[in-house]
Amino acid sequence: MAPAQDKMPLTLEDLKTAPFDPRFPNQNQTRYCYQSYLDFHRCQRIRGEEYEPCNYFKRVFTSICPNEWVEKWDTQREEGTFPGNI
Amino acid sequence: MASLCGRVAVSSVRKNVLCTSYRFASKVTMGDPIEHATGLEKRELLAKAAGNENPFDLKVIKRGPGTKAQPNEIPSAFDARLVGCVCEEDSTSVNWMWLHKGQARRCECGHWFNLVHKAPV
Amino acid sequence: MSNKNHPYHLVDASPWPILASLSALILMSGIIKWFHFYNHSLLMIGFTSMLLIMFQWWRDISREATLQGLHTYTVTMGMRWGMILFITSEVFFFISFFWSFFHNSLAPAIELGMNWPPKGIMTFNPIQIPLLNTLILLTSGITVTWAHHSLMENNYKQSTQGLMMTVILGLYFSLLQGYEYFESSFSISDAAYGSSFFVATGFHGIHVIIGTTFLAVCMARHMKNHFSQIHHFGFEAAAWYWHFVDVVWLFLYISIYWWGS
Repeated sequence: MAPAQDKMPLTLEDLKTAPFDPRFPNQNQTRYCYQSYLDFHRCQRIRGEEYEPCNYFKRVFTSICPNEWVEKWDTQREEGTFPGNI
Repeated sequence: MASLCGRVAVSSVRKNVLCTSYRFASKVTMGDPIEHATGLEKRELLAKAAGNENPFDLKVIKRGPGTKAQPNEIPSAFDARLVGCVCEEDSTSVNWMWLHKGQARRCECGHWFNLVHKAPV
Repeated sequence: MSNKNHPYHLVDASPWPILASLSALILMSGIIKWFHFYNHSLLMIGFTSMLLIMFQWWRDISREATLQGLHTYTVTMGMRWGMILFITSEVFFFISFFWSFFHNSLAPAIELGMNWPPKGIMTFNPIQIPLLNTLILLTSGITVTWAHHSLMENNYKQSTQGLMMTVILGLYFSLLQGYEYFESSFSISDAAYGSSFFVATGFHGIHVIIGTTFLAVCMARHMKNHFSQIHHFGFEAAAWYWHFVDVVWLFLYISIYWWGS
């Protein structure tokens, strides 16, 4: 994410995370994480894997979801036991 | 034990059903409810049927003159009864006292009470 | 002649309350032993003792009422309040299970994929056996009311018939629900759906069995002429309880079977 400038230190503008989503205004952001995961894979299914705008969702869930959860869900999807609708 | 209960229950139900089947000819009723009652319940029902809505004397009694010559007569089946005098209309407390047979008593507000025998229900 | 002049019933000393408490202790310990050690011996002892004590305690009460005439109008009023308060407490008991159901189903957890019913749960079709069960209980509400009116009109025969039909319908409901349970593709341990479904409908089923038993006891007492045209509070209490069971089922049907499917 940080621009590869020669030896320039990371500035405040370089650091980015998932933007505020008014659908999930409270402290518990679990559903934001999960919803983005779902939306990314739904987007990919509908628009194809090359469709670049889908990656917005990917960046969101990569930022705010715990890595363990993402791995677990990926495994579930492979095994066909993922409980969500994609 | 349980099977005994079961057999008794089944046989008594069967007996009753058989008995009632013979009475189907006319309208079978449970009879007169006062006849059906017994004991204290029956005496209460009889008193009410005779017009006494307060057979146990539990209703609040309105005071009469309450003088020493004409005390309030409190019915009781026994030798003593707890009486509570509500001295004024809006009193927040009731003045309770034991009233014994043969001993008229005066509440602090001036009203006299006397125990009068009444047969128990 | 008598040593009291009031309408209240100050009961004679009885062994049943203390024995019932001890039996409840045995029952509860039995449940724990069953849950933790997979052994139901204590539980069976608890059930047996509880049933025997309930039978004898209530037999004593109907003896005091019908055979001794100790249940005056005032005593009946007290029992009316008691039954109403008891049923109210049972309503709150069921409210807690409905609360839990709605908590789980209105905003399903991510572990359920934010779906309700969760993926993979084959729910019962609400227009099959559940609808039949609804009709059975509604009809039983009508038959028990018919029995009550017959009782108040001093009609012994129709009162018996109404009670008999109500008990039969109650048994039919339990039979059908038992069949549904047997044929169910999911169990109590299948996600929040399974637990909320079986805990709510399971407790309801227990109450149906209790209600049916209560009505059957009333039928037996009626056939022994315990009830009169004006005094039959045991029957009224059973009828109130039965209507409560019916209403709980209606809520279960609408929320869990229909909306939740």
